[in-house]
Amino acid sequence: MKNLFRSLAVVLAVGAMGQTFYVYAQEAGIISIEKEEQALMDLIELKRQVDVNGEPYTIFNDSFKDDGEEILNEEDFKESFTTHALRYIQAIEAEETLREVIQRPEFRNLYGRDNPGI
Amino acid sequence: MAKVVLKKQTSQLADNLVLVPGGPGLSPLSFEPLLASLEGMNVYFYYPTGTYEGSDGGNFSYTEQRDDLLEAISSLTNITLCGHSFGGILAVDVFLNDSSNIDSFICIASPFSQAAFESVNERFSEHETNEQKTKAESFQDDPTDNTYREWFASCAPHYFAYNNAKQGEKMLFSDKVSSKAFIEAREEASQKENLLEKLQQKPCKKLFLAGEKDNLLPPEVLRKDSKHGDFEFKMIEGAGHFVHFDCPQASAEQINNFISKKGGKS
Repeated sequence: MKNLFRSLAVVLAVGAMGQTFYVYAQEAGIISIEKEEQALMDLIELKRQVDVNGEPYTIFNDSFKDDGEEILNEEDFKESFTTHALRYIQAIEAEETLREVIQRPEFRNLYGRDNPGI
Repeated sequence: MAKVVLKKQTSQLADNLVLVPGGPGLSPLSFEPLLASLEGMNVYFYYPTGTYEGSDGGNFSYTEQRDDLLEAISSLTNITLCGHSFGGILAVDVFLNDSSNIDSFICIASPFSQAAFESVNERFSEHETNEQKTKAESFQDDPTDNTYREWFASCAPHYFAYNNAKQGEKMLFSDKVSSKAFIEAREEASQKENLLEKLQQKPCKKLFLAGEKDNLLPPEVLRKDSKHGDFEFKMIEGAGHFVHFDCPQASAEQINNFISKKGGKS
């Protein structure tokens, strides 16, 4: 899991190089690529500290500050990471790619509770 | 390979009713109970690719399924396309792409809007049982026609009127389903809200049937989509999502009436 997050951080950092403009997201208003990139890297670092030290999130949550958002536990972390990752995808205008990728069979379980059709 | 099969013949000059199943991935088996009560028309069943000869090979994308239907009905004239649920979406899309031989269509409990699909997801999740979750996981782990069929059949209480759920389950167990058609087309099928606006710009006779007891898509949800597409809306009392299977006689009466009003030649 840690390697996954590290790899993701590298991918995000590389992907963000040269991306210094703002784009409009459909519902969230203006999204800053740099801000989302920083939030994701801070969250990855926070997760790393929690995993390495075996301490609760509350010990390290000073390392993550984003508009007053607080990470107090694993659920907060998951929600925040997912939100910022999706905002980042919006910021780089990759929504269509996301829709295509998410249709792959290996990602079926991302749809939440599934139904067999209509 | 997709195909249409003549199930009931009235005369060569009569209107042609083509029944398109939902899913995606179901065969037209659920339309069988309708046959006895449909009058004054030739009735065809449409078998989507994979539901007649198995799922192996082929392309099952939404666009491919739409084009399959277009091709399968190309030799017919005076067509009323009647689609159940996903089949209704496909019917509308086919009409918008080439309406030269289609003069009217009927949607049975077809969701188009995002709100309608959200209704399906929310209501399904709310009442999902552990057995259904287990079947869903079996399908995810091993997505075959068999695991898909078992999963769908286990979910019968969501899809049929309470007093008909056992019959519905039995019918689904007998259906020659196509899991590939389901996997490859379902996502795109849920993003067809724009068809309703296009439909407003291309007038034709159209009827919408909804089930009063539809657990996934209640009439109040479907009525909005129907209005948006400028359909004539009829609610069938006592019917679940498989309106025509739960209440075949009442559904057939509406279809007979609709087709006779449009000026059949039988």
